[in-house]
Amino acid sequence: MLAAFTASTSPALAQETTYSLTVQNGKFEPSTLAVKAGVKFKLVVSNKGTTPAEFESSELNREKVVPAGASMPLYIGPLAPGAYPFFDDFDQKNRGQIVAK
Amino acid sequence: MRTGARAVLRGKMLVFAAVIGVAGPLNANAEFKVRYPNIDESEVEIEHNYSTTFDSRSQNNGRQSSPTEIGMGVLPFWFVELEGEFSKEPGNKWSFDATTFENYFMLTEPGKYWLDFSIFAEYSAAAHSSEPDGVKIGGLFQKQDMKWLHTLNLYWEKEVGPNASTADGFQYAWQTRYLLDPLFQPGVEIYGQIDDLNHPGPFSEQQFRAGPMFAGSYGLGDILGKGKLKYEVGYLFGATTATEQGTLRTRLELEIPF
Repeated sequence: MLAAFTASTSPALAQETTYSLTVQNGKFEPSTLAVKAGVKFKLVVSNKGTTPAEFESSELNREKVVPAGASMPLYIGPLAPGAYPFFDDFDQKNRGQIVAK
Repeated sequence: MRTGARAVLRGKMLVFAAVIGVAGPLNANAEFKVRYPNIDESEVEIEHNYSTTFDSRSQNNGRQSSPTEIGMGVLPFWFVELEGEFSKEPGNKWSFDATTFENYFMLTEPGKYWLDFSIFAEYSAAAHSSEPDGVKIGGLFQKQDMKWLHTLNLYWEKEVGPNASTADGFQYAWQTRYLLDPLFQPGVEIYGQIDDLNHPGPFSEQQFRAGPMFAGSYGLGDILGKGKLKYEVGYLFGATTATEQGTLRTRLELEIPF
């Protein structure tokens, strides 16, 4: 069944677009991430800190806990043009956004 | 909307959701909820559901249920919940019906494939030894298309143990929601039930209800430092003679990452 799912994925995923996001010292870097609208992409969130972080966005319908020192992938999109806020659920003052153009 | 007015609105909606969420006793067993296939490891969730029916037929008016459950992401692909189920038939008192152990097995990474998919499996132990236990197994499917979120649940259920029915039950639920804003996401949903797949009977003898819903979440960073409160409210119109004419359902969930 999983093979059927992968075989039916869009050409955009076959040539995977990947972006990186780092969380450390209470900040996301970059705090604004520009991505291409209309294309599904992989976002790798790396936690360079010493405590867990959680990438979360209601607008993107995504949440993922990233242990300290680890990197976790998320698959997002395709997105319509616009801004999509996200935050760290362990430190909700730490916020950023993905801007799709 | 100005920042101050937005904060006031957020606060009022939070109070409204809390009131709706505790409209009934803190008990268990509202089946009118759509389950989502994507789980969160390292999160604890406390959830309260409630439903009540409205019907001109007195025997169907005021049928209530109110399950409460606590769950946790054990592994990246496995989420477990323990639920206490309570219900109240029209004219009767509230009763404790069962203790239920639920499992979600996430088989696809959210968004990686065309469809998100999880397997759901639960065992419900009846509160009274003369009543049968229950098994429910099913699939949870979700597809996101830009800001539209579509979710489908399909379940097979069976009674086991003393006085168990021989019927194979089937339940289905569908929800389409628009991701408008974290606080307010409107949508529509459908719930259907066939008591015996081997003898489904005409559609008029099956349960089927549909109606609008809305959902949202509120960050608790300022109060608890982390976590969020989620709510859902829906009103379902019965579409067959076997279904109550109206059903109000609510869901209130506290999520805390650890």
